[in-house]
Formats: sequence, C-alpha cells, structure tokens
Amino acid sequence: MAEGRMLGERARVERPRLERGDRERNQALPALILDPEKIRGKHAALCFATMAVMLGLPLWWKTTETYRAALPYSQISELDSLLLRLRVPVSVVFVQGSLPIVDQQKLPFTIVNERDIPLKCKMRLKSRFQQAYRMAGSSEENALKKDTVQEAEAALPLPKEDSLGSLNIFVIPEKSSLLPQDKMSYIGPKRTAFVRGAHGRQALTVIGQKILQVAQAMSLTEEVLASALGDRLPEDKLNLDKRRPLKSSLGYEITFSLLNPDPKSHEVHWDIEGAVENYVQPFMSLLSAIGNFSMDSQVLYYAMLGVTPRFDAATSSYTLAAHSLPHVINPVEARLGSRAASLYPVINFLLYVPERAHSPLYIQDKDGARVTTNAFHSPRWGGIMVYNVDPSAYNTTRYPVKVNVDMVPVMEVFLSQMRLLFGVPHPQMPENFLLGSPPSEGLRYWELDRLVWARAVENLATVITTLTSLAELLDKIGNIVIKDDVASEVYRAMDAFQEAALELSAGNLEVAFRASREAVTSSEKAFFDPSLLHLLYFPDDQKFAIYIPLFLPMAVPIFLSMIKIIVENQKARKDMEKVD
Amino acid sequence: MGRVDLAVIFYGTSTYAWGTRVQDRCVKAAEVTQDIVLGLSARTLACHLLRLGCFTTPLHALFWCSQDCLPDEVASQRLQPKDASCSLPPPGCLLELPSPMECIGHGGEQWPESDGAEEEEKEAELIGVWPASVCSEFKGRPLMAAGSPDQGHHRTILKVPPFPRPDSGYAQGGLTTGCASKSPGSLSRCLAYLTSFPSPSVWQDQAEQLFKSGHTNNWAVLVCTSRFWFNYRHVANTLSVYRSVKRLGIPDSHIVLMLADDMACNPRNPKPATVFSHKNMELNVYGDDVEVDYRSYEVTVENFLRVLTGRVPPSAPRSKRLLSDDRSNVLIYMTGHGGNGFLKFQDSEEITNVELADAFEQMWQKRRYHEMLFIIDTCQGASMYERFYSPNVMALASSQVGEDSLSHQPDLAIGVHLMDRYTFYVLEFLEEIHPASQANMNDLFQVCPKSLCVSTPGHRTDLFQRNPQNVLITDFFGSVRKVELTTETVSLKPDLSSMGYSHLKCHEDEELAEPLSYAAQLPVAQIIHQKPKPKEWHPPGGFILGLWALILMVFFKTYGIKHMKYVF
Repeated sequence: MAEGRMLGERARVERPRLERGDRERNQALPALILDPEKIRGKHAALCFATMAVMLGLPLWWKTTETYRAALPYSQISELDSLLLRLRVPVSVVFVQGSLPIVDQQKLPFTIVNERDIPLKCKMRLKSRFQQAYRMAGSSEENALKKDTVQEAEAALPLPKEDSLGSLNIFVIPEKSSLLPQDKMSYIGPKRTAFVRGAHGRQALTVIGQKILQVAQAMSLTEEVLASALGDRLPEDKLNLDKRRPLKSSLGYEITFSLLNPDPKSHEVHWDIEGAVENYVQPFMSLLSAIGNFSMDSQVLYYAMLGVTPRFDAATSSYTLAAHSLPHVINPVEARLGSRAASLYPVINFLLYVPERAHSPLYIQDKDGARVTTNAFHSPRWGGIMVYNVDPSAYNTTRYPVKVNVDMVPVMEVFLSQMRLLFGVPHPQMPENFLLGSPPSEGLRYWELDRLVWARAVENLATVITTLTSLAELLDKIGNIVIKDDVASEVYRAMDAFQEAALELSAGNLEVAFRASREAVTSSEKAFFDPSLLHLLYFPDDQKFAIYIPLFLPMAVPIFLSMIKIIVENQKARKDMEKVD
Repeated sequence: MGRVDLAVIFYGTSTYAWGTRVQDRCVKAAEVTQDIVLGLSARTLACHLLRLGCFTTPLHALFWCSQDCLPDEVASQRLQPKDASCSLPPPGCLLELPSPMECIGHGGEQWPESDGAEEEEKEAELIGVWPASVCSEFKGRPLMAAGSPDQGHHRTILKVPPFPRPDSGYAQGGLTTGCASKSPGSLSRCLAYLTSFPSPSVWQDQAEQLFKSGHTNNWAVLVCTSRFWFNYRHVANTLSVYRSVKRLGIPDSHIVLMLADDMACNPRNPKPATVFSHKNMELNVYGDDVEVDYRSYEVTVENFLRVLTGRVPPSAPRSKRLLSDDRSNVLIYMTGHGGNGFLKFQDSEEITNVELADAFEQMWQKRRYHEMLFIIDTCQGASMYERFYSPNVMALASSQVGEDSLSHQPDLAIGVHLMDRYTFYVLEFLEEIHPASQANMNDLFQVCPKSLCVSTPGHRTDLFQRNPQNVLITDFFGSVRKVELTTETVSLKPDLSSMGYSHLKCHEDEELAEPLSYAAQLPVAQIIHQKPKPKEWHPPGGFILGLWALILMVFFKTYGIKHMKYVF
C-alpha cells in the first residue's frame, strides 16, 4: 500500500508539469492528447524507471557491497616510519674515593646517552641510557668494603629500583682489591655491576664511557635486537644466530622424550619429574615473563635414528659424523607427536640411549673430534643428546640391563640448548670484564632483561608488519570483509602498541612488554579472523552471468519504453516546429 | 674445516650412496656427499684428486661417466684434454688413481687404464703417501662449486675454483703443469703454488653460500580436488607425492593432505583398501599410515584458502593448520580437473588463479613462507600460476594454456588410469632423490619432456630470487634440518636430597595417579561456548513476492485486464 501511495504522489507531482506542457502543445498535438491511454502508459513507464533507479540500484549496491568497518589507515601507515625509543634506567652509585673530590660535588645528576640502531627500513630505533649519578649511602659503603665481589654483592641492600630492565652500577675506587687487578669491571648475576673508578681531570668522562660499555653489555646491543628485527636489519648482519631462537609467542610446549631403541637390552629409567622440578622449573619460572610454558615427557621405544652410525675401530666405538646429523631428526620426529589442541610452538628435547649394538656412540664434529657434550641442536626445533650406557653394565647375563640416567649432565645440556633456543646465548664479554657465574636458575637476571627487551621489540615489529600488511591487503584485494569486531581488534592493537611504545620510552620494560603482547594478540586475531575470508572471488564475466538473469527481464521493458518515450517526444517537438 | 670422505663426480642428475647400484654409471658417490668435487679436464681433475688424497680419509673410488649419459657438448668441450700430457681414460671405466707421489713423478704419462664391469666393484683406495707436514699444508682445502656457464643445459656442471694465475708458466692448467715436469724442484714449486691459494675458509664459505637456502623447516600442502571413481588417478597422484615427501623427511605434522579419499573403499575398487600408482598393481600408495587432514566434502575452496591464509576456525586442531613461519619452505601440490584460469574442486566449485595468487600474497604479507614451490598437474596448468605476484614463489605446471594434461598407467583390472603423466615422471625423478642428494630445480624442470608427457610442462621462476640451479630439490621435497653442535653447557649442582625425595614421590604418585582425562586436552569450553554464527540478512521471500505482485498490479491498473492480449 505504501508504495502505491507513493506512486500516486509522484504521479500527482509530475502531472502539473505535464499538464503545462499539454496546454502549450494543445493546439499542435491533438493526436497525443486525444489518446489518454498513451499518456497513462508513459506515466507508468516513467514510474517503473524511477523505481528501478531510485530504489533498486541502491538496494542492490547496498546488499552486494563488501562490508568494511572503518580502520585507522592513517595511523597504520605511520607505523612504518615510527621512532621507537628504548630507555634503560641506569643508577650509578659512586663509592667514597672512586671519584676526585671536585667531581663529587657535582653529584647527584643525570646524563642521557642516546644512540641510533641502524635499520634497513624507515622505522627508527634509538637506545637511550639514562644514567642517574649519586653517591653511595652508608649501608652500600659498608657492603663494598668486603673482600670479594660476591660477598659485596650479597651484602648490598636491595636497590630501590630493581624492576625488569633497570641496572645498578657501582663505581669502586680505582685501586680497590674487590676485583682482580687485570679486570676493569664485574658483571654480576643480578642487575648489578661494578666498575673501577678513575682519577684525573677527565675522571667523569672516563667513568661515563666505562659505565656505558657495561650498561650496553648488560642490556641493549645490536646483537640482542638482531633476532627480534629479522629482515629489518641490514643484510650483512644475517647469520645463523638470527634464525636459531624461537619466534616470540604467547606460550611454548616443551617435550622431553627418552628414546630407547633397544628395550631388550636396556631398561632405561629417568627421573624426569625430579629433574624438571629441580632444574627446569626454576629456569622456566624466570622465563615465565615471556610466555606460558607447559612441559610434558614421554618414553618412546624402538625409536631409531635415521642414520646408521659408523664403527671406529681405533676406539672401538661408533660415531655420528657432523654432516649426517641433519638426517637424524626426521625419522624420529614422525613419532614424537604433539598435543592436539595447543597451537604454541613445540620444543623437543630428546635423550637417545643407543642400542647395545651401536654403543658407545659419539658425535663427531667436522674435524673428526668428539663433541664433549655428545649433543646437538636444531634451530627452532630442539635438541638431541646421546646418552651412552656405562659399558661395565654389560658384564651381566641378565638382560635387559637396568639403566638409571644421571639427569644432571643431561639437564646441563638441555638447559644450555634451551638458552640458545630462547635466544640467550652465552654472553660474549670483553677481556677485562669479569662475569659472575649464573645463579642457580641458570639464567642471569640481566640476561632475562635482554631477552625481554628483544621480545618486546620483536612483538612491536610483528604488530607493525601485521597491521601494515593487513592495510595493504585491503587495498590490493577487494573482497576482504572487515567486520566490526575485527576493526575493534585493530583499534585495540593500535592502542596497546602506542602504550607499549610509550612505556618503552619511559623505561618501564615490564609494562611495555605486557602491552606489546596484548598488541600482538589483538593484531594476530584481527589478521587471522576467519571472517576475513568471507567472500570468494568471482571474475567479472561470472558476475555478469549472475546478474544478467536478474536485470535483463526488468531492464529490457524499461529501456525500450524509455527509448520510445524519448523518440515520441522528439517526434512531437519536430511536429511542433513543423506546425510553427 | 670439512674433511672430504669421498669425491663425487657430478656428471649426472643425482648422486647415489656408496654401495647402491649405480644404474647408469653416471655418478659415483660417497657414503656422504658433503663436499663437491668436479674436474672438468683431466689435468685439473687429477690435481684436485691429488689434493683430496691429502685429506684425512682415503678417496675410495671414482667412476667416470659413461659417454652416452654425458651431454654432447660437455663431452666434446670439456673432457678433451687440451694437451697430451694428461689424457683421459675411455668413458665408463674406473679411474684407478695413482698415489700422489706417482703422479708427481709421472704426471705426463697416461692414466692407468682399466675396463669393464668387474672393476666397478673394486675399491680403489688412494692412500696418501705425502709426508704429514706437506699434507697439513693444504689439508682441508675444499673445492668450490660454481655455477655452470652453459645455463641452457639442465645438468649441473660444477666447476673447480678458478686457479689463480701468478705467472704464465703455471697458467696452463694449474698444478699439473708443475707436476708434470720431472725436475726435482717441481714438488716444492707445486706446493708453493698450492699454498698461494686463497684461504680455505673463503672457498668453503662460498661453496656453502651457494646452496644455502635459509629455511629451518619444511611444510607441504597436497591437494587432490577430485572425487568419484573415474578420477582415481588424481588420488593416486597426491598419495604418491605424499609418500615421496614423507620418505624424504617431512613429518606428517608438517603435511596438510586434502583428499576426497573415496577410492580405497569405493565399491568399484576390486582391491579394497588399496590405491595403486603403477600398472599391474605394483605399488600400493595407500598403506596404513596415510594421515588425511581434510577428507571428502571438507576439500573445498574455502577450506583450502583458509589453510593457506591461516584463517581457520579456532577449533581447528594442529594437524589441520599450516603453522609455517618466515623460515618455512612450503611445497604446494595440486591436482584435479582444471581449465584456463581455474581448477575445479569436486565438481561443485572452483578456485581461480586470481584467488590463488591473492592467497599467496596474503601468506607472503604475513611471512607465512620463506620460499614456495607450487606444482600443479591439471589441464592448462600454466594458467594457474600466471597471476602470481608474490615474491619467492617458484611454480611448475604439467601443461601450457590450451593444452590438456594426460593420464598414464591404464590398468585393466582396476579399469581406470592410475596416474597422470606429469606426476608419474616427477615421481620417477623423485625416487632417485635421497635426503643428501644435490639435484637441483633445473633437473626438475627437465623431468617430463614433451615426448613423454605429450603436454608441455611449464615453469615460472621470475618471482624466485635464487637461481633455480642453486636450489636443491630437498629444499622443498625433503626436510633437511640445519643442526649445530652443542658445545657449551650450564653447570648445575646435583641436588641429591630432593632427587631422592622426588623419586619416592614419583612412586607414590604412580599408585595414586588418576586416569588422565583426555577431554582436558581439548578446548571444550571454547567449543561449547562458541558463538552461533550470525546469520546473514537476506530480503525475506515475501518481500520479493510482494514486489512482483505490486509490479503486476501496477501493470494491470495501467493497462487493464482487457489488454492482456496485447501483452501475450
């Protein structure tokens, strides 16, 4: 009914104009006026045409368009040329006698040292060491009067600021006996370091340089960020180290597997639970800052290596040459299995007890020398260790021989592999640095900081790539749908990203890292949302084929009648001119 | 620094492990084929073998290539010694190498010749008799592999490193010129010359760089887009490729297999639970360890694109996902019925080349692959890769646009063709590959010439950044891991008390342990509380009906029922 009324109105609206026209042509065109049927037909045709254009076309356009919620395109395009500042708060404490009196009077003050980290792309990265200089308090003075560094370190009061990423550097007198004479500085297992002071007019400058050197070694270096930035780094920095660490992820699955290919000869028992509790768990509890870890273990029987070891007559042992190691993993891997539900990366650690016929088994390096650890690892996959059964165990007639695996050397190897796989390689220090041994957890606190720095930067780099490529794809490929919830994820990712960048430049590493994780989660969620793949692509000829049966039956009468009307009108005008 | 166990002569398409039968006697390989040696002229070959003799293990044996399997131009240009001082034995015979001292003494004489098959089995050991001090001088100096100058030819010709030419006296063929002269000073001159070579590590690095791929893991997506009995061959194609990649080391967890899988249990299958790829039921590719990830009606364009782009529903298990990263080499194999620019999926829908190219671009943008090899065996297959625009993609197809791909291996008992020609010959080629082989992509391009395939296989490499000659087959078909030796350990203090405690506890736990509930491993909550899919809005049927009714009403109102006759 509503349409009907509308039609009537439209007809009424159009009528005055027509009537005016009629009146003008009244004399000239008696034939047209005389036939009311024709006029009515004309009106109907016009009605249909207007309805099709005014109502049909917008309706068709609206229902077939790709829905795209508004995205912050301009903000995303700015991400590429972003300036990221990484601020490292360093508190520098001077002990009495480490600095000339003149300079002492200048304390306390703060200096900032900013450095560019070269990148290939437009994004800029700056590390900024903010050094707050002050004199030592009395409790600190007392602690530093101890005999050895370790004692001194233990006696130091807990620093006010001991958050992730901060550093405490103590400047001790130049002639102090805390450090061995040939060592310039000491880097402790926590976030503490000692540096020898200096004398002379340029004392502060000299000390400042030393402090910077120590601070860089403990927090941000290009190598630390190399793995995080991936292909953003200049080409010449490519190396294997870059590929070794696992990519940043919200969680990791760690699987310990004991491979017993010869259960007839060996009955192997390993106390993996105890080992995990004593050695792995402390390590993981430190690393829990970067993700969730879940661990499981399994024993696999009759799981063979893919390579037959070679017999070495000289030592009556079997050897696996370094170049055959790549082929060892694959046959085993098929049997390892993985948790069905979790999508986190899996890290495998295999302990292989060679069958009796092939033991003892040793891994050789390229030069033919035995590898002391008898272990190797594969980037982003895990590690394998060969555990030889004590040959004296075979002096028995009873098989299978009971083998109790000594978990300490095994875990020593696995933990060192884990360090490599998580991107915490053994730190390389200059000659005159004394490096404190790691705490019982197996990871120095500042190494953890370095890892968190790297991961935070990696996360932000990932967010940038994800969002920019999403924007680029939307530009390139027309049929991607962006729903409102996807858009809100993008906005959330942008907000978290900005927060992370802000916190990084403020030096709050922990908050920044958390925000960066949130940004990664949201951006990945947005990118991989199943609804993005909503419409399939149809080539133009197919689209044509779909629409023609819909449009043609309607369009043909409308077009024909329109043409007819136009032709008649022209004819009428000509007739009019003729009459004139 | 590498130790050469054995020399490998690369005049064939692939290498063989020591002890396996050398079918065409083209190549004799080693137990391990790590370092690559190739002499192009007898002189340089001899001198390089000499140097090999100085490595720590003896050189076992070396088979010369038989004449017929050498490309003609290579045989004529490169194998003919330019001077008579060091000539070649006839092709197809065993080179029994003299000791280095002998060579130095009698470099100008003929190589000892031997002939026939019995020699083949013999192991000619070359025992280094040079003094240890001399050996240590250039021990471990590897030979560099370099690209072949004749790009047109598919066989890999690895060149010896160009000799530095200090003066014209040594220019003629490098070492042998010096070696051939019998003057007492020649040994020292040789050595002086040898030690003037660039540092070994440079060569080693260059050789390693050449074949470096930069990936850490391999993935494969194998898709058969057909169903129904008469498409038996497509299932067999896919399963055979699946077998090959599995044999070469890609684990099931890294293979996404999409298969209608309606052949093995098809009522028309005379041998239930089998799928054969060769006539006379020679080779069953079904077996008992085929893990099909997307089966039957799950093989759809949508699912395929979801796998590629990673946009799978959250409930999808790990095995149904392509969890590749920026260091993954991905192999995509597709087979089915196609046309110009599309590939049919199970007779109900099709994927177009534009869609496929867009999916690859999405993968590239999200760094879901490092390099990709796309192989398609379908009619007009080349049309499917025409639209690709993402970098690092290499594509192969069984036929050009306008050509049909043909089937192979008709079997009377089964009543259908068992394979497609292109895949058949590709697989024949892959059979020769083992995880350590050095065959490259150029070899794969030549696999099915038109005489065998009837169609013209095509390939596209312009998007790929490396020279296909330096891309090993195993970069995609296998999964050769990069490994490093672990050299450092962290030191741990044995914690005996708690070890004992946990030991005890462990035993207690065993008794108390409750049976594991497997439901806990599944994201049950996620699955149950999934939001119902929001329905799309469609104009209700009544609305459209009403619209038509209105149109009719207006029509009748305008013309009246009596004018019906004018309409019809």
